[in-house]
Amino acid sequence: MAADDYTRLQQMLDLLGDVPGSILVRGPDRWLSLPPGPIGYVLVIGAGGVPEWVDPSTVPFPT
Amino acid sequence: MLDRVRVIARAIKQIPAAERGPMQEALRRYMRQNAGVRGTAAVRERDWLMSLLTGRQWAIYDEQGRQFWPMASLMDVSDWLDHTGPRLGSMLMRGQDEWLPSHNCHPKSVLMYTAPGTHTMTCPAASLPDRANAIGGY
Repeated sequence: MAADDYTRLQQMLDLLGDVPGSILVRGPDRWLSLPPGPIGYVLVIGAGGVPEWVDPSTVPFPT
Repeated sequence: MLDRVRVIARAIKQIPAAERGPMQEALRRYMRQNAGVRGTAAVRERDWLMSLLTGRQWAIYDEQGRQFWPMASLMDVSDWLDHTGPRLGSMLMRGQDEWLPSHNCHPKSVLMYTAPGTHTMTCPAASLPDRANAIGGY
């Protein structure tokens, strides 16, 4: 991919969100930018089917 | 906004019938994409008119060569990403040869590490061999 094409692609994706650490997620109507969660949180599929950051103490990891 | 769309629709009726179909379809698509979208409607209308008039061949570049008009709208980008075939909640993952939507399991599943060459997915936390296999902590 040419450098200007790459830059343009990045600019287009930035339309969805440009907070460093964000993740692109398909929402009910369109793609959304999921901003970074608090430090130490883990990414979990929420009740609505969309990923969300949660406190790991609420996740039933094996001990 | 709707009044201006009606003006465009009337203008299209003046165009020879053979050329009218694709323009009418483009207008219908434009209105569908704008349904319920706030804030970008004016930009999308401008881009649609430019694409109708110029086929997006015309653009403005700044001194660094960056194209800034006409530029893609938020919904254009979302529509392009939909070509990867996502489901609700999918995240974009880089596969072997292309970007792919993640395979999500059920609510409360966590994003987990999968071996290189496999499709990253979410799974129930209790099925993980240990906590270190979960990824996504920030």
